[in-house]
Amino acid sequence: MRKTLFVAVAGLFLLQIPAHAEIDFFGTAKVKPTYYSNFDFDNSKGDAPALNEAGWAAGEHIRSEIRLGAKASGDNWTAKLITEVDMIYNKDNADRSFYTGAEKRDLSNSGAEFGIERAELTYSFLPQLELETGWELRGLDLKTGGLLFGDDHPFLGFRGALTKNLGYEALYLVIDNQEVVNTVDSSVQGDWRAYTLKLNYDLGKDSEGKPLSPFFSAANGLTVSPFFAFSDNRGDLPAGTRSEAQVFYYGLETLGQLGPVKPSFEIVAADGEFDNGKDISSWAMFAGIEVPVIKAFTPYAALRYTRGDDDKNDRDVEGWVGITDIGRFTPLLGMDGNILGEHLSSGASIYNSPLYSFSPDRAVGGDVYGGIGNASSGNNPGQKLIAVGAKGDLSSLLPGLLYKTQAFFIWYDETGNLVNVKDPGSRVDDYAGTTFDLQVLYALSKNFSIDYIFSTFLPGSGIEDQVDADDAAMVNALTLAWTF
Amino acid sequence: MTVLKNFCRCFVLLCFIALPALATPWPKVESVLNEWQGGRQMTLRTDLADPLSSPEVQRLLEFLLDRGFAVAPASLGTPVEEGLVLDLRAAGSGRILVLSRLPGGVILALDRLEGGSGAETPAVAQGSTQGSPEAMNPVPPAETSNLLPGPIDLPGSPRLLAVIDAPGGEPEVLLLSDRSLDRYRFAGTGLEKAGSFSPPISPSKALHLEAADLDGDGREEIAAVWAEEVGEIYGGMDARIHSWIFPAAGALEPVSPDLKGYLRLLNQGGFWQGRGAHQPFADPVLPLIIKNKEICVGDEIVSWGNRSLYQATPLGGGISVAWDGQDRLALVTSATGEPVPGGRLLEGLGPFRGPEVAVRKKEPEIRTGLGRTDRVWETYHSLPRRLIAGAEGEIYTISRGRTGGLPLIGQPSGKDHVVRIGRTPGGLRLDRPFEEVEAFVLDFAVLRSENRSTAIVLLLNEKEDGTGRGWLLLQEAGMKR
Repeated sequence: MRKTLFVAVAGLFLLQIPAHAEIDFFGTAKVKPTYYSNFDFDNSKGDAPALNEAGWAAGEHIRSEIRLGAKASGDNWTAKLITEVDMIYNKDNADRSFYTGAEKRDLSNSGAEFGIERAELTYSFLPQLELETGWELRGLDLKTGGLLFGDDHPFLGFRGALTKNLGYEALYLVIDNQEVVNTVDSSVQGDWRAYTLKLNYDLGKDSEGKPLSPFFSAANGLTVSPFFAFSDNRGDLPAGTRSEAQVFYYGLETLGQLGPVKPSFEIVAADGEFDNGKDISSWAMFAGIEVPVIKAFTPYAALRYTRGDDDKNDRDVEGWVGITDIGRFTPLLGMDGNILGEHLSSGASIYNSPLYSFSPDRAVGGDVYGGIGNASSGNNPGQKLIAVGAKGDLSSLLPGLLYKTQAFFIWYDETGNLVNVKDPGSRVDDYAGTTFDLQVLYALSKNFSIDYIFSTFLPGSGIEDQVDADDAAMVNALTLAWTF
Repeated sequence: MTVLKNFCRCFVLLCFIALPALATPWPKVESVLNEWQGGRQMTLRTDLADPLSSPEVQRLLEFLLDRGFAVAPASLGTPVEEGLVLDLRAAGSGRILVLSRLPGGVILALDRLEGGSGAETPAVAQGSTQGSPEAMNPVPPAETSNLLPGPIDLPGSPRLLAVIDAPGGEPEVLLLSDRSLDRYRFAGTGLEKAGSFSPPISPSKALHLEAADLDGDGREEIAAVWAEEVGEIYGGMDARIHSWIFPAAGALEPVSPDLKGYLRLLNQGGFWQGRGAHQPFADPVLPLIIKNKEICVGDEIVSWGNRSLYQATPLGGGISVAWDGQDRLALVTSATGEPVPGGRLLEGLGPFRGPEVAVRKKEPEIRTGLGRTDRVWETYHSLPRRLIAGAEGEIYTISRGRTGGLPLIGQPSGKDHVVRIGRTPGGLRLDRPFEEVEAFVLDFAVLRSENRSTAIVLLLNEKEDGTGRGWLLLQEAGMKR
């Protein structure tokens, strides 16, 4: 009785405490009728399902991603929670009818139930020291090539502004932390953790935030960001399934606005080893530039390189594998739904770039040391990609009409590990193919827009050699998007 | 020594020669005003059609302004309720200047002047939409005798309003909407369009409209400012500012190139401010100048109270009135923006969302994810409400008491009205001479009515963002419907 009374009083007391917080509610809802076609580049065969954020899909499907979020903030602190449902339209997903079972007919119920998709909690002790934790989007090179890391892995870390022109962020990423019940093994077996540090230095300003010269006082600016990561990848479960790999990454990202021109550049190197003695040594880079001409036409060009491995049987693992290749969401080349950013892997396509990645980092297999889903191979052929594109505002024709279009010309860096099916025994040609993307968006209001993406991958001789077919792969995706 | 003596003699002689030139032609009026300890409000009534063009009136105005009088020009015979009145009129073959005090009509001084132009057609007072006691030659406000009481239905969705004087003396209304600047004259029971200008940009959003005498030639100019929103699929919206100056008379054709920045027009001065790359305003504020007969932006930095162009309005004497972050008003020094002691108005004037400027963020905010709709690419900055400094140092602005109601389910409720803030020895004092309205007041202009009380023209809308039905409404101070 006393206990009950105490709890009731405590509850009433808590209700009476004034809330010293502001709370913002927001949400997005996207419905995406989509058609995947021929990711295997072969019209004579059916298509295997490809994975997207909603689950496995082939051919025509409608994906729906709905997020509801709230962000509370007060003096020095913030707390943001985002719930999400991300599903392929079908009755079982809509009814959540196999929620109690993890799988039905070997298909996992991946995402049809509401859950906390993202959480971000911060407390600022000082401007120089802000604690942050949760599972929210973080990245090391999201603003340029997205070659190393960009994802919503759980993290704990600090960030802050050391001076008005120098900031930092240090994170401990818990990517995998797996256990098997009733199994005695190392507590880190099967785990994957990463430790990252990034500095952001504004070259145009002094430590008080004042421009160093009149050139930097207007719109011009140049930021240089060295970054570092240590990836401690302890294989898989049970023990012995896969080798462990420890890899150091060193990189530099620069981003600028020099008059009307926006250059961006990234270079990153990987140096590490497997516990079986194999050495990991690779590098990747990105360089891009965009130059506005008129409102309706801003052309851009970019080069994206990931090193490939020429011999999977030697002791040198040279194929580039980042923590997550996030090319799909990078500012210059990114497009939310183009074919190269889809999951051209897991049996759906020989190109073997997993979801979000632009490079074929799951190709060949073996010597896995990272990538989304911890499944990317250090024996992959790498990539040289040259991109040209343009974007613009067509509101002179129709208010609210915007577009982005680009073409990627893709070569494999090394083809020594690829298998020529068309002409067995011969080396695979290094030209992988050409992709073409066109996105057109019509914003009917601030809160509702419709956009359409047509994206195709025209296989080059390199893919043709591997599948003995040369039919184009395509994505047609319509997005109906509500923002509130 | 001889040289020094001669110098002194010459100096004294020069003084005697100069003295008559320095003496005013109205010594008796001058003597009374030099000794005057009462209020400094003065009504100057003349029988001239265009008093400001008369050198005699100009000299008289300089004399009065130098002595700290706030002068309200009027036509002869205009009733005045209280204060000092100077009547300059024809009398026989000459002219007389009569100083009297009201109420009561007691004559304090009379001077006979040489020459005179004789009686002319009484002047029609002109509307003043902006000005300050020290802004020189405030334009007499418009007559409202021919203005309809309203509310008058408006076509389209105008967002901003100004009132100017047409060549015939009748006031005309300028309305700025997203797609055009339109001029209307009052005709019958409504408005008749008298001119239009469409900016050569698409799409466009109306940001600011103002009419004042930019160059001191006695004729008003009009400044119109629009934003052109430019979008990127993965970059959000960003506004480019476009602005032009127009003459009040004649066709609505710009007399300036696209000045590509925000504009303010005060009598005898125009001001410009540009946009920052990731801010709505970028320092500094610069003057508008006339160079080779063209209006352009000058180089000399203007002190603007350490605020953006629409956040502060100069009142003269190195003082500006400025909005602070909480939609309250305060007096600040124009040079540094430091608050003037005792110059804060404690009454809040309610939240007000004016025209918005989209500003692309330097780094997009990740709100729900990395997708296009998951990030916040831009912020929208609302421009402050209209603030007009009256001829007698008072300040007029909008008090927002109306709300749009709860999201999705609410209905608008509450009332807006235009308030007047006076500067007293005790600080700023708010009073409410105008009736509240059950509509959103988007904008207003200040006039003078026939009986010399202050009148305003309101631009009303059923929606706060101006996208609903709009109306024009005339109100006089102290009058209720």
